[in-house]
Amino acid sequence: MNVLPIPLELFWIWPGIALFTGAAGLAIAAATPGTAQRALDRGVLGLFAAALGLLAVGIAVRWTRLGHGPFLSLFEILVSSLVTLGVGYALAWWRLPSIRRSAAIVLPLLAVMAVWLLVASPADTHFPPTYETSVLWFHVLFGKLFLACALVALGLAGVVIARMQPRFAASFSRMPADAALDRLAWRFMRIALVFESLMLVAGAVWAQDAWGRYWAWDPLETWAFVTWLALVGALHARLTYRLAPRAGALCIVIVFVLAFLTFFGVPFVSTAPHKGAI
Amino acid sequence: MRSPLASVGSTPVTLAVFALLAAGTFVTYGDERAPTWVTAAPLALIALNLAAAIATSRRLRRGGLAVFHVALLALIVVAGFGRMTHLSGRVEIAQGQVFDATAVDIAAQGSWHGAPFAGVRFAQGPWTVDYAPGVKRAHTRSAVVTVTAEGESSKHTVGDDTPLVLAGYRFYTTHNKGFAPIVTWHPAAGPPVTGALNLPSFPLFDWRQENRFTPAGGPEIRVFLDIASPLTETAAWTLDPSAVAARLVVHAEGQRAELLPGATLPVAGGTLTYERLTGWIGYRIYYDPTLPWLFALAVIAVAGLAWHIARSELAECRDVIAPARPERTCA
Repeated sequence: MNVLPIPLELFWIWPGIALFTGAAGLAIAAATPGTAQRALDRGVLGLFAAALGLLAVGIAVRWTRLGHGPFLSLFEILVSSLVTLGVGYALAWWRLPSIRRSAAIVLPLLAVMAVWLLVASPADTHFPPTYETSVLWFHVLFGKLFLACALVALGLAGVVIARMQPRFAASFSRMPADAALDRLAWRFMRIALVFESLMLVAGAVWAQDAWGRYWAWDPLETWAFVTWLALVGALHARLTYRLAPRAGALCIVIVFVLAFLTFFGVPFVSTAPHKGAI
Repeated sequence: MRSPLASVGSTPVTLAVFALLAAGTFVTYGDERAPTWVTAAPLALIALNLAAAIATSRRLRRGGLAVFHVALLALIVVAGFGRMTHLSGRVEIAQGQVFDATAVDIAAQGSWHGAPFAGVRFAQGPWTVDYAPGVKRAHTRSAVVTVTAEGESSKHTVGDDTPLVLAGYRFYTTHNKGFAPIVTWHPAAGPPVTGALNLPSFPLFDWRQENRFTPAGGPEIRVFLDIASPLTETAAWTLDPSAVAARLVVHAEGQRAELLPGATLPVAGGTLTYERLTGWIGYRIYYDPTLPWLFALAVIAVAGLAWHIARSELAECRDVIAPARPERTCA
């Protein structure tokens, strides 16, 4: 019987996944009233940082082995997004101590993505020549920054929504009031809009050079554009109708779900991020 | 009372046309043959809504918001102009041949596009395509020689994300390419005719490298390319048609012959000569004079948005975030 060798990077990524789920569990525990929250917070930070470090090393090992970055398969997109989203959220966590309890919302989501990695194929990928352009780096970077901003906003929106349930209200009682969280979340969403717009522009430049058209309604283009429309629409609706924090939080969740489908749903159902375009 | 113009530019109308555009987007996504108006009509409505909003809202005529909205409006108008003047199509050209505008398969052409391909003159040179193990296409290098109206020629190598740009037309290499045996037909009476027989795309149809033709005054001739080396799937290799060893198997009037380059086969009505093996390559053609304008407007729009948000952020920095644990949000 032939046994395929296990890619080296998995020896770093698998422990990273375990630590990610551990950090998510501790974050939920830390949000439970009556627990030793300060100690648990330190535990969350330690596990989270170690998980990010292990995944980053895993990416570096794979990059060195294959000779190209993690841009192609669902496995590569998931693992690179885990690191960039994790770093983005960690920065917000560090700079805005009052939002730290939102880790109980954000880290479980990242943990689900981490567990998803276990069933995504880590098979080696072929780097198409059309990907050998510096524009790709900008396109991907802007996309990651967009999703990281939306993730922080999602965490705050999740807190607002969770507090609608009395049993969760106590867990997030030390966080700012709904109105303040709403304002902060939408600040992140506005910054997310800038990065998503830049992602679309860079993507169009890349598509023109790579495939001879700047726009062709391929699955990723379509979903990314609909996400942009939803985000711009939500921003207009919030300003015009002065949406209450709970309604605003629901809008953020909807936009994030669309963005999540764009980033991970399309690669899940197609062979490449831009299906058929390589 | 709100004026009609203000109503057209109102946010509820904005949200409604956004919903229309999202619906049109999904229709286009689900059916590639969906009519253009499915997305063009909502975009036109958005342009109207934007123009009315800019005209009636003082807020949209100041600072970054003004830059963003005006650039967005200009982007839609310029993109519309681009669609009216654009052209997209495909062409196959064999090594040694000169670009022939009549051979182009035009996929779409804006009604304001003038006589196509004026000033486009180039000759196809040799090309190569690298393959990674697993027959995965890597780099394409296609040599072309362009000729100006004054008769000055220059050599270029194009491929992958580097198109050949001539008179605004952008020629992109594609996965579509294959072998093109060059044959000469010597009729019993009249001058000889030399041409390329483009075989099906390779290696996509490596199992079907055949073609048929009927020369003037001759019988129908079927040709098949018998390649000496099998397709390599486990190692990297380079496809270079002129370096491939192959025999041309010819079927005519019930007889079969295997020809090497330079060999001749007499058939009824004339003689067929297999000259040499070359390749043909398929190009995707795209013309849109608005591309640099679209890019500039998109960058200006995003810059305006960033400017507006940066100003808002600076204003927000004065706020206090947490009543329970007061702290500044923008340290």
